[in-house]
Amino acid sequence: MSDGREKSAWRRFADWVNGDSEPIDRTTQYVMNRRPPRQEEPPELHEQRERLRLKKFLGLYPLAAGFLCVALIAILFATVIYIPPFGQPGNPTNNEVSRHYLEYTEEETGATNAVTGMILSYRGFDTLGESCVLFLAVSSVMMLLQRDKNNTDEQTLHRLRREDAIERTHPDNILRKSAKLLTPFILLFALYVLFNGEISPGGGFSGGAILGGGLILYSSAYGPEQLSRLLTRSLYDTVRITGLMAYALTYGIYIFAGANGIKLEMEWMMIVIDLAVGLVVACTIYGFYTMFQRGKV
Amino acid sequence: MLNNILTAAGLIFLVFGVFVFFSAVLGLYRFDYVLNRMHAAAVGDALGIFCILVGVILFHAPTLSSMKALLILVFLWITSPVASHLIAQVETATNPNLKSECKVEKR
Repeated sequence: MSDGREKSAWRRFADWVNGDSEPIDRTTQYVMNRRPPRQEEPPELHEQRERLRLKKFLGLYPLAAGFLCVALIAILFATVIYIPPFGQPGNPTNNEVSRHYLEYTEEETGATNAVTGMILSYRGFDTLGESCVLFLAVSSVMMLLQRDKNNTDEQTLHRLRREDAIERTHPDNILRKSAKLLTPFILLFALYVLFNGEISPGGGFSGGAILGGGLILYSSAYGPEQLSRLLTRSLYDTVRITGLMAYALTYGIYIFAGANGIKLEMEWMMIVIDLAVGLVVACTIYGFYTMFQRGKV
Repeated sequence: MLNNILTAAGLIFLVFGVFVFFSAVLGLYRFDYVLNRMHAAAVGDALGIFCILVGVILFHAPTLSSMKALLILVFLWITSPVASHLIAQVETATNPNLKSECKVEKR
């Protein structure tokens, strides 16, 4: 940047990425300026050609679609023929791995339900990664959609205020009554699924989804302000981060103890991990809803 | 004997429920306006669900799982009319040419 004309390499690169860069040499500029304007063909000719193309496409399309369907069906049937019959003892899935899981899950992981033992203990890193993906997804949605004074103009604020006023003066009584009746049971059922995951079907993901659904139902029936007074932004963030941290910590302790042969109360750790996953999932679902609806938690 | 009767009754309910769902899907495709289609879908959600779940309850009559099916029935009967009501309300609130589609009663 000597005299204002010379740009830095970084600046030129940024311009090139943005598509703002000018042609460098004068010859290119000259050629670009001298290029004759594009010849416009008469509209009737254009229309006729387009119609011909469309006709060709419409003639070809059912043929291609039918061929694709038949080919897919043939491939699927060919695959189904080679699948071993259901429930036979000699099937390749019936090997020592699954036998080991079914026999030793309870004493090795402390979970009576083998599926929970598998996703939270044997493959706990996988589940930790999934929780991180959910956490990051809701974080990036927050970055993009959060409403603050820099990206909100007066018009949007006015519209939001008017929508709030309409919602306040015309409450939907049918929705409110049914939400009032159902929300406690939904939250109770969510807690049941969460804490019962290690001895019965259920667990963190499904329980968290039910919890988030109950929150969404309440929020849509009574207006977002009613719930955000209880579940403030700071509480929401605390719960979200605490869930992920608790999972990581507990699983770290779990792996450390297992590697060094220390005996621990593993059932409790299972429940803590289940609860942590459930909180992360519930916060993700509720966060998506409220971010896309209002732009704030 | 009682078991056979229960199974037969459950089968009748199931077949009728499948018929109701068939007509609901047919109505969903044949009707062309939101409120009409919603009516067809709501028939499936209320009567079809009722028949199929009663059939399931009769199949597993005196067990815990049949009671769970009863709970599912109660839950769906509370929620699905509310959902239909909300869809209809959005349609009446946002469609400016509602009068050309159906009779509108002033209140």
